[in-house]
Amino acid sequence: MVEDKDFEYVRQFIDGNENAFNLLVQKYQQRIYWHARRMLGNHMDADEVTQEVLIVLYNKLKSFNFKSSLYTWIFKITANRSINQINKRKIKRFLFLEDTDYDTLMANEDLVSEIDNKEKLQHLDKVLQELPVKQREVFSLRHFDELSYEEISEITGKTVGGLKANYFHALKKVTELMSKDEN
Amino acid sequence: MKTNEDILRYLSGLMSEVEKEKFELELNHSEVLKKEFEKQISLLNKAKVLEEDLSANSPYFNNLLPKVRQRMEKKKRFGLYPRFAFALPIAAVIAYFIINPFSHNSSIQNTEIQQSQELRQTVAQINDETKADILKDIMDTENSAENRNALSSAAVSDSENSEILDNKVADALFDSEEAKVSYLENEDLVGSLSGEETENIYSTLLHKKIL
Repeated sequence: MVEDKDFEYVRQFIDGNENAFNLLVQKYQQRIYWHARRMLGNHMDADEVTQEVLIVLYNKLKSFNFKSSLYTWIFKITANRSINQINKRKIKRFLFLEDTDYDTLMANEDLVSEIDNKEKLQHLDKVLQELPVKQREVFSLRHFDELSYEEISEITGKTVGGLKANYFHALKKVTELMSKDEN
Repeated sequence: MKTNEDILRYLSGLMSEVEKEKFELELNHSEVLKKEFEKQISLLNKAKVLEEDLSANSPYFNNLLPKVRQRMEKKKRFGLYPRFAFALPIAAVIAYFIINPFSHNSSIQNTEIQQSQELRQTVAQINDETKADILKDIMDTENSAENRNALSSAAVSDSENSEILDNKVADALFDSEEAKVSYLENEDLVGSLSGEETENIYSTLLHKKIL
């Protein structure tokens, strides 16, 4: 049913209805942003990836083949872009192009301005950044986006068995860190 | 501890069908397990709830689409620019080096000829007395230049002035380094890499055990 609606929007967009794209953005923007945010751990990078994904979506939607679901396709783009951004950041750090001032700037720029929520969000970022990239990706897609292992496998190209093991280790680490903070 | 691990194995889908059935049966009968299970679930759901709350209250998502549309418009407007961004300055530099040496040399030669002719005419017009005055003036000027040089060397050798000079040199060097870094940052060379390029560089760095 969801797929039917998505496919309908895509068809309308291909036929020249720009508003169909707006509706798709409204539907998926939060999921794109949050996946990028969980992967990258800050607002600035997540914002950049979200915008990039939406632009890619706009440009590539016409070549969408209707064989897989639209959201799997969108998550695939988001996951790739997020990992790409993580690698770029590592290269920048290696080349000394990113310093502590930039990190402070990133911490100040955020989705929310209220101190309480900001602190909660930064704490969540910090917990997730403790996970290795692969575990973080699976944890994000499975726990937050509630995708099945088969869908995650389609997105990441990993085996279901491997994904389960990654998710288990991620759960273990996250619950440990969160209960430590609770106590 | 074993209970926690079992809960996480259950949640991860790592249990076999038999283990799963056994766990679910125990979950229905054991209050301790049930309590621990709910505790873990509520701990994990905290983050989810936070995201949902923030999404609902943040203006960021209302402004995102106009921002993306604006960015796409800019890209469309300057769509051709990046491809030819390097071609134009390079063409200009090549054109400068091809055309300029001839025009530059010939214009210098013309100016020099004109100036020497004017000078000869002026010299021919002035009498000997004036020539002597001019020579005296030149000598005075050279002397005063010598005096100035001596004074400035003394000033440089003065420790305080020398320190200022050193600081200025150091500042200038620092500025140039900072400018270099700032150029690289502003141009965002790494940011402009494509996915494939990033992956290649990253895997090379990993392969060489640099990162």
